[in-house]
Amino acid sequence: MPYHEIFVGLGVLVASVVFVREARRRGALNEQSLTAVAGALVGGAIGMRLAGWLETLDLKDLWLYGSRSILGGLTGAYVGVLLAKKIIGYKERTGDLFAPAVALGMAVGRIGCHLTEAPGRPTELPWGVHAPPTTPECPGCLTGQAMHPSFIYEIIFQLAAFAALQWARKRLTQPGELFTLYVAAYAVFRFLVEFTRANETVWLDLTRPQWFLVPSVLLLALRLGYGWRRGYYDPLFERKVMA
Amino acid sequence: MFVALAFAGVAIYSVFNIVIGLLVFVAAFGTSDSATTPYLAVGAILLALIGLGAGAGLQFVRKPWTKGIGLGLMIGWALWSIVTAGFCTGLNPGLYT
Repeated sequence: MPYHEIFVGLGVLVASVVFVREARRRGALNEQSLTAVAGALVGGAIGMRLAGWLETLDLKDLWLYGSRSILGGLTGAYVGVLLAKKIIGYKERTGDLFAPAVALGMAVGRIGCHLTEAPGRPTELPWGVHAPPTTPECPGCLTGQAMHPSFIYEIIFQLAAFAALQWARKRLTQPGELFTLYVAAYAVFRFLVEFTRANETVWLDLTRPQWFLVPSVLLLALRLGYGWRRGYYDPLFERKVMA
Repeated sequence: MFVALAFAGVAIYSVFNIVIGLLVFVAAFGTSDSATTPYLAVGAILLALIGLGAGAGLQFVRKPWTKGIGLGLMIGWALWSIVTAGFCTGLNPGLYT
């Protein structure tokens, strides 16, 4: 059974339902937001492959694995939305419509990763998991070692993020900040969880996604600082800005 | 109306995807791994042209129905591409290995 594809498909379906509900709630279910969705999907599909090109130029590898990079997909989706909005001349922020949809969709999609990919690095922790020896690129699976269930960690993070976004969306008033907070939280989480993932380390014991995330987290920290100084997040902390 | 046309575009692309996928499968059936590559490449290019090329092109045609259908074609290409792990295509490479 192609579990990976099935759960990615289910993830996209769940994300679409959450997006439509959120767009309807905000009164933004219109031609422009659908164009943004098209930009996100096309950009995401292309971005997944561009991320594959950073790892290998082997056509067969790209064909088989080129569409499995979530970070590449998210970056491509972001650029796709920006381009689509630029083309139709739409200036409203749309990120807040996407944030809860992406969180819940990824929680579902990651089930497929857990079932088909190397679960993580070897561990002696009691919740370590085993995977079949047929799992590709998984030395730990061949030796029968217990491994970190890194995709389960991510599913828990995404579900918690979805719940936090549901809570925060009623409080944040500055457009686009819900999305900024989600992306920043995911970038930090992903950097940390990579230490338990089975991805190859390329330099200084860091993986390719971590090297991608180092500048991304720095940029996001600057952006969060900008928002913090302007009081965008005050409603979350009930912080009073000095007059 | 716009949303309905976009759904129609997704459905139209899906038909192309299934038909071209089936043709590639039949053409590549019984050949070696390396011999299937040209069939897959042609299928991938055709599907990208239909989904992205025609979809983007329809955005510039000034008819009331073209924008929705065009957007649907592009969304269809992206959805099939994402869920089947193909390379710029909706074809599942697992079928040929």
